[in-house]
Amino acid sequence: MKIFLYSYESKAGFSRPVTAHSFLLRAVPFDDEVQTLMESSVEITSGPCRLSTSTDVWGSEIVYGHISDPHDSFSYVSKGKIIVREGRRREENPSPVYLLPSQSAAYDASMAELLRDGSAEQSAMEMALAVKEKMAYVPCSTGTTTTALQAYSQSCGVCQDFSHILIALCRHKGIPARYVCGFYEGEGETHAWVEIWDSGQWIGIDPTAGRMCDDRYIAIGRGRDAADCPVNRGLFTGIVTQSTETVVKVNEIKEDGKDNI
Amino acid sequence: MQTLIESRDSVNNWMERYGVRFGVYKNGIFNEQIFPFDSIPRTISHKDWQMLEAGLIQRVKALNAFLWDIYHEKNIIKDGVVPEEFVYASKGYMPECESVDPTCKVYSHISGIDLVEGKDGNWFILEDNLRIPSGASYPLIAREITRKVSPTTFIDNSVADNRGYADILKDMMDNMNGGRGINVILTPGRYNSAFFEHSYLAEKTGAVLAFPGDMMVEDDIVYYTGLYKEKVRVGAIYRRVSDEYMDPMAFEASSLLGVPNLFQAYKKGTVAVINGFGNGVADDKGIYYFVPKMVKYYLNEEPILHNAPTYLPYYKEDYDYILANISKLVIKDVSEAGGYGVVFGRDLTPEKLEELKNLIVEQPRRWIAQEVIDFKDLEILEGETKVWRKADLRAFVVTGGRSEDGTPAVKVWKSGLTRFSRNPNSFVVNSSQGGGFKDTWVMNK
Repeated sequence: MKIFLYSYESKAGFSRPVTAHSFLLRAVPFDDEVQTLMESSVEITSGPCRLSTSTDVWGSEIVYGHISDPHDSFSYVSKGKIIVREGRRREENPSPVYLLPSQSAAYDASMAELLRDGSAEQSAMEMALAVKEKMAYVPCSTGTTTTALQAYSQSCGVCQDFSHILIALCRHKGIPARYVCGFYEGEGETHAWVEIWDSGQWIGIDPTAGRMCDDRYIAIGRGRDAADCPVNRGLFTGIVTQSTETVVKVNEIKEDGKDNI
Repeated sequence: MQTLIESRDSVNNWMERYGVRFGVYKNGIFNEQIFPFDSIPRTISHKDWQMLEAGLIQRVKALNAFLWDIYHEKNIIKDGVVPEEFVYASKGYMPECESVDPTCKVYSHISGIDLVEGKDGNWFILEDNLRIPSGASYPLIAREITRKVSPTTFIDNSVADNRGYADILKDMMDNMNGGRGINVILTPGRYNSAFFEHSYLAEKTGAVLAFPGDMMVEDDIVYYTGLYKEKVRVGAIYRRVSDEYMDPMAFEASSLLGVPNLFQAYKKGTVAVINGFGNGVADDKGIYYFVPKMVKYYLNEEPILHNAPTYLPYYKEDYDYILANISKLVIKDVSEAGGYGVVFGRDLTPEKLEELKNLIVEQPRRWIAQEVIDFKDLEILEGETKVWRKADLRAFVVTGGRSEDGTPAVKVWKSGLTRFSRNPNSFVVNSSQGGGFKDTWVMNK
């Protein structure tokens, strides 16, 4: 069990003011049997804006809103304090959609060399290692809509692609699998991994690191593949160039509340 | 009747002046065509209509019950009536709709049910269209013009008045709206194949015709901001934009046709969306096979209207039958819409037949097969001579209007869109493939 202070900060700048800006964010960790959210907040720091909240069908918390007036920046901060355990999420009957190919995580016969046999948990872990072995981690080598097959064909990608390939392999073997987006201990960007379902529980596997997930992984969004849980979606009116910076900070703290670093 | 037949050219001229057109994309280029009107009406006897009306109401009630069940309890799957894979593997199934409650539990407000009449006088259902069925405006305006050109026709013949369609629509929209705001019809825009219809129905129902960008969502409430940039609350949206383009925050991110975060407002129940989201799972060509079973399952009634005899390669018995009889069957690709994925076995060369068989063996879930129905042909005027052509009927069923007991009323419009094929040998009457239409007279006696 670990306790973290986390923050996700995003700043977007536009070369000229934009209007009619709608957005939808998935930047709040799950509050469930594995993670306990002690404090959390989402704030639009670039200007006044009314926010709505809800939960999407996959269980991710969403925060969304609309800014009508012209603005040349859009920044927000999601932060809080969270307890993470090494447990597994329980579910009796996962949706059958986690067994079906999805657009970015569809199996292709050319991936057959990565298939492994065994129990669900065991074969999924071995396939994760096979993905890590086969694929080179190359930042910016793929985009948000790259499919499992495209990444596999070029033998390189990022955590999103590693996860899509593992999901495709698991589903092909009849193992329900879903995509998870979240934070990892330390400082950097968002991370992505996979949860596979076996005997009533979801088991986190990180194919990029080639290991089981533990209490250093904070889940914030999930779905069939990355398209179901982007951290930020937005649409505005304006012909502009946009620059975006995001920083994730996840620092462990002692139970007395003092920073561990 | 003779004056009516002679009126064909004047009606077509009037329609051209009114801008009654539909658009077709061919090789990426947008062309507008007039939808040719044939002045010899199709008549449906009073007796046949009573049967059709009762059967259509029954069918649409069952389809709405199915949609609610699929996105909630899923009893029809648990009870083994519809196999799970037909639901979840359907392109029309939208997991996002799970546990979402549409206003008054209505999913399919406007259902376009396609039927054909066999030579033996029996009617068969060809397909259900529960997403954004189009076409009601054509017979509406054709009747309006015909009444001008040949006013005595409707005095001499005892034909049910079809001018009430807009009132039926408006009553449904008002009831779904529940006084929460204005009614709008959302069109993808000027270059949509049915734009004429969108603007015509908006005018006739008094709804505001909204274009992409005219609406926004704030605090889970939908507002129209189109004309004066003043926010006006929207209570019901009759949308003519398909599900995946309706909300770029929830679905296709690149869509500029939708309303950002509309789906969240819909989930919270602050706006009625007509037709609802996720209906594609019930009008899937693979699910069609199960509709008569739905009627029994949900309503505990015998189906009044029958499907064309249909076989699902998914079932071993049907699979064997299809492979043995493929040359006399119609094979439909369930993953396609618009009449392009329909193949008649008898039109194929032996090599092509083998190819198709292999496709069915490879992906049995992707196909359905049907017996070819011997349609009753209808007379049309080709130049100055009468010729016989294949025709179907799209009946419009409107669910969700006011009723005495408060449950959503289900009404069948006493008319419909009769489409015919231009080509004498073609059974495909889809208007995107060059056919025309007729008025449909429902007789009062």
